[in-house]
Amino acid sequence: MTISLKDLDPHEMNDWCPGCGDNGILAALKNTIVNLNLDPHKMVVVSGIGCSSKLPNFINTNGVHTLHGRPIPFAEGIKLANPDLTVVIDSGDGDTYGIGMGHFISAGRRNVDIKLFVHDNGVYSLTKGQASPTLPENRKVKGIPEPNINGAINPLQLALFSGYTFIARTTSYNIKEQVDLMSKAIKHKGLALVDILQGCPTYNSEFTSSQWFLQHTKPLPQTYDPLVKNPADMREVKQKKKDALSMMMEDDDMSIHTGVFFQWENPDTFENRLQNRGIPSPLSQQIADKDNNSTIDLAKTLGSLIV
Amino acid sequence: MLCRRYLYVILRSLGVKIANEIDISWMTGGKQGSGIDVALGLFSRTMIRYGYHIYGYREYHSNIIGMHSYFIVRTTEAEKNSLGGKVDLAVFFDKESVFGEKNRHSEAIHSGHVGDIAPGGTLIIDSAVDRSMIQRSDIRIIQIDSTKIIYNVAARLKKGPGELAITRNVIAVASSAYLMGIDTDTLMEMIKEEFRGKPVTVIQTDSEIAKETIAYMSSEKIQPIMQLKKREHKSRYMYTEGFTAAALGKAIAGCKIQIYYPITPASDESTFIESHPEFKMRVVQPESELAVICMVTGAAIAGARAATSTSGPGLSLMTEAITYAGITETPIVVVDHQRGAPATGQPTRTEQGDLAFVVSQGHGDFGRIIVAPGTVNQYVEMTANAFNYAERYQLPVIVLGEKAIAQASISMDADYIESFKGSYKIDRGKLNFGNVRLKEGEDYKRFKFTDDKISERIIPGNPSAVMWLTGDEHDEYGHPYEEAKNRTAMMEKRLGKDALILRELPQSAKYGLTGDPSKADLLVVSWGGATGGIIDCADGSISFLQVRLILPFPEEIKGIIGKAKKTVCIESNISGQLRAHIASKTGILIENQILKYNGRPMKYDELANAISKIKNGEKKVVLNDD
Repeated sequence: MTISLKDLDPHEMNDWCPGCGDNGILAALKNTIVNLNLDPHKMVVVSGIGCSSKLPNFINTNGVHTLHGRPIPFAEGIKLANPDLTVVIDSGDGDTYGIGMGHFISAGRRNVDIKLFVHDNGVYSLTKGQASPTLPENRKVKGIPEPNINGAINPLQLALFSGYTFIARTTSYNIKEQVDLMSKAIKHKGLALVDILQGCPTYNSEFTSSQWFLQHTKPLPQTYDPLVKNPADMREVKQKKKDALSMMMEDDDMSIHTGVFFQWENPDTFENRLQNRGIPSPLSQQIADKDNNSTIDLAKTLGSLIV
Repeated sequence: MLCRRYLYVILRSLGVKIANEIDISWMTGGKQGSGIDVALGLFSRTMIRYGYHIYGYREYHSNIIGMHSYFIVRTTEAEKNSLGGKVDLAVFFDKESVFGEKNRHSEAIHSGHVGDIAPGGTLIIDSAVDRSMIQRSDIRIIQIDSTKIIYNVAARLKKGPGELAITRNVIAVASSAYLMGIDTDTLMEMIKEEFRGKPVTVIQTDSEIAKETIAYMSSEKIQPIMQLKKREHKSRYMYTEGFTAAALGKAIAGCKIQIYYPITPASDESTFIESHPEFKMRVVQPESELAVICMVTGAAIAGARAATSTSGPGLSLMTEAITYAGITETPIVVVDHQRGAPATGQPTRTEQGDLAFVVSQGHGDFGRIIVAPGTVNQYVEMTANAFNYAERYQLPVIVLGEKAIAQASISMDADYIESFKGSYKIDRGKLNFGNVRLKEGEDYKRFKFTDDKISERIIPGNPSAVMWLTGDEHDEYGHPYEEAKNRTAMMEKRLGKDALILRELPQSAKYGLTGDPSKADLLVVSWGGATGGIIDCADGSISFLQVRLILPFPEEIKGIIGKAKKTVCIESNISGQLRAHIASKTGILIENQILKYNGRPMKYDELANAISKIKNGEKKVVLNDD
């Protein structure tokens, strides 16, 4: 079966602002699914709360629109239960890097095979434009009365330190690059972050216009190679992380690279760790027989408790 | 033998105490980290092997090494569900256990256990402890030179005595076994089994210590206090704790994923599951309770039977996601082993303080089920049944347990577990793994309006359809939808399940009732951990109503209470939370109360005393001695 864009047509009409960067990200996600010919039935798009997180309602895959800051643990739970599903998170920068930061960092400890596509526009748009954790200090945007008094976090560096095995950045206007990076992220076996600098024409029009991105972003140099060639070689892994960090630190608020910063096909996914313990996935187990009796064999357990 | 037992049952039900029936309470304690846990297990298993039933309970501080903790094990011929206030035999080798300890402000941390011994009881202490300080002429005091025992064995095994300091736990059990007339062979057998899996030298050392203790006792011409008769159990009995029972319930129900965050007293359940890989249950410990409940809900959305186990503070943190499971009609199971609250409260003590919280947990109204087991056996059944309720009615289910049950230890019949498992049917309700039957041009609706308020449920990966969930109010497809008529219908769908639940659940799931409430002098109404003590002290003059289904609230309760001549509500909290809950659901305010809120479980004898005070006209009895 071949999946076409039409198969992914929305059930609902989207209610994003005209010119919203979320449209670009949605288009890229649909094209990625077509590009990889993924079965929409076996795909789950998980989101948090905010404009970006409405996305699952506008695409014809399984969609789980969760709580503010919590899409990561929801997605981990889904993947732990059924590793055959492709689990993608579409949520915002406030959701992922603000209220959900604890989950963002901790996910790196587990390397669960889920993909974070973070809609990063520097503002909380659905609550009318407050500063998000990625808005640089002193930047004034429409929704805040005074310039931003908080500093910004760097999600790529945090991902690198936390244990993400695929780290990339792109912009919502560049569909081709987004499809390329989303496809690579989904094919990657492990925890992937694609930070998508996104246009918000309503609350952050000055610093997220297509024009601004054209002037302030550039692809990573062709000579830059993010891929760990021998995944088992920890010295190479360390060196590639150092290279990635150097590249990330070349960037500043006004000059930003896009592309894949780091990629390590680390076989040590969380699913692998559980399989190594001999604990199969919940959905691969028959819990009841045809008469609805429990299939669990308690002989060994009871034997260990009997005096 | 059978006849005698039958006679006892009749006599006991008439409130007659049988003089020669074995009912011995044993206590040991000491500094946490000094090996007393081992003494609890070894003593309990020895009693079970000897053909008796045990009921044990642990009291400890929120500390790893140094603070005082103690255990009581009640050994009986018939199964019991609670402790009494006094013990018959106590053994301590540190003087703090005997005399108590004070903090820097000279306030008592605890007041020692001399007063806990029943008149005529026996106290074993170390010979280094000054017995003249013990102001009790009505108990027998036996001094044992534990240092000498350790030195003798150390010399024989060519070890340093310091290495053997930990073996005072075995001296405690061996000296108690000697006094109770337990034969040496059984004791040696139990030591071998207790330390099975440990290095051979450990078994050898502990066996030598036990032998040396017995030799010491007999050379000192210490007379046993009794000759406990060896009995035969009719079936295979297990040494089980409440948290083990909850884990077994989950295993039987086909729970395949347990997510938890460490919290006392709930973590024991999760570590027990993880140490039994044969359950094939994934156990994951993420970064926070927020992550826990979201992972559980995610796994349930994906079609797994998923659960967590926590205590009050953890449950507080999980609140928002429980409302999400409510609005998305996702079947999750949460076991709350209640502890002293609020905030961090009393992490290692018991309380029934979360009822008022869980019945209104979260913002807004949504369908949920709350059940409250009252005994270790009920922990098994009600936890297993929770998964069926969750999936049949598509909602979160809270199992309101309690430290008083979770960390109680009992002798449990293994055949009971097998027979419960045999009778248990997995009911996944309207979960459809196969193709959804749809008309031409029709799309699958996860929240389709139906007569019984329950919609067909699919999971991601269904070959024929996709599904949407949202924490927003939604249409039948699961997309956010704010239209007024839809909102009304969806609220009525989620809350309207209550009627179906109350119609379908059997009486035993809703409440337990003994005696005739209209004839008895007093109707005792209670729930949860207070149940065990009430069962143990109940006689023919009272009727006992154990409320098991907290939400939705069974209508029958009103009728039962209405019939009674006199009523009392017994619970372990200060405000009378069940009493208030019953009043809010039935309009009946139970007239009398017995409360306890010092963090300690209710004892059967203090309950018997309090119940007679209520019968004699007192309105409220507070049990806060210990």
